[in-house]
Amino acid sequence: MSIVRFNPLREMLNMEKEFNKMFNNFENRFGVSKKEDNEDYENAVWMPLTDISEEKDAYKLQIDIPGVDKKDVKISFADGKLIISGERKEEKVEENKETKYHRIERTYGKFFRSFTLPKEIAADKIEAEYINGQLMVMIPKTEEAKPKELEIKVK
Amino acid sequence: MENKVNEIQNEQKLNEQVEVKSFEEALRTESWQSPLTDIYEDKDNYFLSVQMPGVSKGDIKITVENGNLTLMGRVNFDEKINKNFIMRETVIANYYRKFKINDSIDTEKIEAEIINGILTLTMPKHEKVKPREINIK
Repeated sequence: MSIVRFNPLREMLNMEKEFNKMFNNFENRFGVSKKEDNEDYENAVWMPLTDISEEKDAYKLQIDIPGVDKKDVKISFADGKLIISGERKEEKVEENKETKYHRIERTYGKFFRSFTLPKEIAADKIEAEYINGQLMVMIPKTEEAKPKELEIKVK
Repeated sequence: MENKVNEIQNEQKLNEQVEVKSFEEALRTESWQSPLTDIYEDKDNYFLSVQMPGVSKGDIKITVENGNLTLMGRVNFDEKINKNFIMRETVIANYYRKFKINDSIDTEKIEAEIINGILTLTMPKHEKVKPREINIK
């Protein structure tokens, strides 16, 4: 058996999973269960920090995933939910006796995060860009949702 | 009088053009945080792998002085601080971290690269500290 590094977030996620199981079990009995957990969520060990800002015509998400390769990131949008998942792989240090770790502060492994988006967005125009370890997701608002200035005449 | 007003306006314009703050000024006026770092070594090198999301190649300063290795990385501080946030989890701050290094590192040959927001420093060990086997004649 290999040694697994202690990761407080994984413990928390595990606890969340246990609770979810409990509630799902309850819901199953009454036939109201919704299946929304997927494999990526089950295996995630960390959650990227995210900033969300609002501009006049778009919402912008900035997700910090430094050290993740562009090809290891998966973004999907379904049922009003934006799902970002992927994996941060450990750098390839030649595994030999001479390699010695002195300090490990960074987290490695699979990550998962989902956001429920408001309805007034143009889902087909969502764009994402990966720069300097940050994933920038641009979510344009629909025309109706953009703030409009109406001039009201005084009679 | 009018000339003076013009002069002042010109000066203001000049000041607006010089938007890029120096590292010294940023150290005083902006906030800074310590980046997460992994430290490891192999036979020939020490490695630092420092997590600096949002920092591009041109915004990094690395100095070695009196056995202190200082790493600085700057984010787009002024732009970020003025955003209209709905949710904010990250700290808006530049990155700063200082390490003490000893003579076993050949400071002349330290190399650095930044890929996907991870700054990696390769610090070669001096020949004299590398493990060596002594053959018996």
